[in-house]
Amino acid sequence: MTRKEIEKRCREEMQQNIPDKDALWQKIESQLPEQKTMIQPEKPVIKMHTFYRVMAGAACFMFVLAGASLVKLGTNKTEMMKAPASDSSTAIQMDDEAYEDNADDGDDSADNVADEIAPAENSASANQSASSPKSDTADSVTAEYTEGMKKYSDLEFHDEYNSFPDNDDINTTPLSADGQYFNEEDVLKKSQVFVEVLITEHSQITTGEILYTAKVNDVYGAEKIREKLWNEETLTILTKSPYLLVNGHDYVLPLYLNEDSDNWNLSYECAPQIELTKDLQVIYHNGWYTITEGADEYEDGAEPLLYDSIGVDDFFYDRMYLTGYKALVELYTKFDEMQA
Amino acid sequence: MTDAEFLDAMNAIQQGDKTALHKIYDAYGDKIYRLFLGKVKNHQDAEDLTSEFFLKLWECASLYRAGQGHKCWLSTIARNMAVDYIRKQSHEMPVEDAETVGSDSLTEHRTAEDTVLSNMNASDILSQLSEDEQDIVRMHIAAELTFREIAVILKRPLGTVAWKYRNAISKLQKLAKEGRLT
Repeated sequence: MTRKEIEKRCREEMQQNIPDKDALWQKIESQLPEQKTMIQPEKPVIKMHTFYRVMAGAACFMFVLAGASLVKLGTNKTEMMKAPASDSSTAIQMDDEAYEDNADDGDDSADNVADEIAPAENSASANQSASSPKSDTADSVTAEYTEGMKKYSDLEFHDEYNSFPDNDDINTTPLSADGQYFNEEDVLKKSQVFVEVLITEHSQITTGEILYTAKVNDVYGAEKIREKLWNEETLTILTKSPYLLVNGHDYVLPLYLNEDSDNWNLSYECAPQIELTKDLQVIYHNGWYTITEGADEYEDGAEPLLYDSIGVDDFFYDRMYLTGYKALVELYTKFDEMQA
Repeated sequence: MTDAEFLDAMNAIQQGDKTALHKIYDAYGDKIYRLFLGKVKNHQDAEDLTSEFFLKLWECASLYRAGQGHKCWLSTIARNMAVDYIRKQSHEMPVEDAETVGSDSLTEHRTAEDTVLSNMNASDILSQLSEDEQDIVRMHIAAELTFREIAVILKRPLGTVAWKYRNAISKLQKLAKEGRLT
């Protein structure tokens, strides 16, 4: 029995337990009150002592202003009385606004939580497409098999920052694999940790290298390293990889710590890194065969993805696939077993 | 149901529109019931809680704020209600009974060794898992929440949720391989 079949079995069993839906609705409907009584969200109330304080302040202000007016302007009594009256009402109004602001702040914090739940809809894919150089060769090759294929630019990402590194500003040294082809076993052995990150910033510190700053969402690896990374919360990654990481996109990065520089480096730079879409689909190249196995086992397999080529030496743009998150957990499991 | 449709329905409920509540019930009644059943493990209690849940929704519609992710919001309310219910039950009964709250009609607590899995229903199957794993499996399969939504509700990292889910399914798969789950 595959895992997918197990899920199906659980689902079927759970569906058998559903009560008579219509009868339950009738029961609910019969208990609904005829007159709608609504619970309103709590509104801030001006407390009496605050009210007195405001009124006292307004009175003082009125007194000072009246005095100043008498001395400097010599205006008549009627005019003096008018000015502070309007000011006191303004003071109360301002106090109300302060309460409203506080209430708004409360809403904002709720909105912030909500933003985390449902991140912004905007897509960075347009930037990605626009910024990724494409060779004619790549275009001609991809044109043959693009019919009906899902494109990278069609996908939605976290996209909080929506800024793709500008290729004009970034000078990545062309990297060649130098015979070091991607091998999953080697990458897993080399890696000390897998991190799920959101790229937040990038900067070019020396020619050919980019320093990425990332927010750490999750960490897989030895407990000591996990704790260290959790405490740091953000992570800097130095790389020469020509496969640029996009600000506002989520990635799954296998990393090792370069003890000389104390920087985290990508375990394999000459390939696109594993990326997560907004709806938690996994973009990966087929060198990660464990993910493919997980996709076969857990998901409805993996579907080919039309990826932007970064040039004639790009060996990966036509080896990219899309699958569900559960397939990725299979890779974490394997990494965990190897670490043990 | 999309967030926008849900918001429309909640606004309509505030105007006293019962059909709007029915729409939400149609979309989520089953899932809410299954979430309750998973926690209280008793059909009658799960039905009562489901009924109470929708009455609460009717009264508290104005508290909903758009952009919260309505599935997370609903699931969090259901989860809190179930927790309150279990706490209340455990206060009302003697300690020795409290330990077996919710085990009356569907299942007795059983160990993996003495359970005949071949005739198991959903609760029996899931009783082989830890409480955490059961919660996650129910939320993902029964309530059709994504791992990200579950992570928000349980206030756990996304990877932990996915990891626990994976372990839970593997555990069940192992039982199946041993011929104890058909």
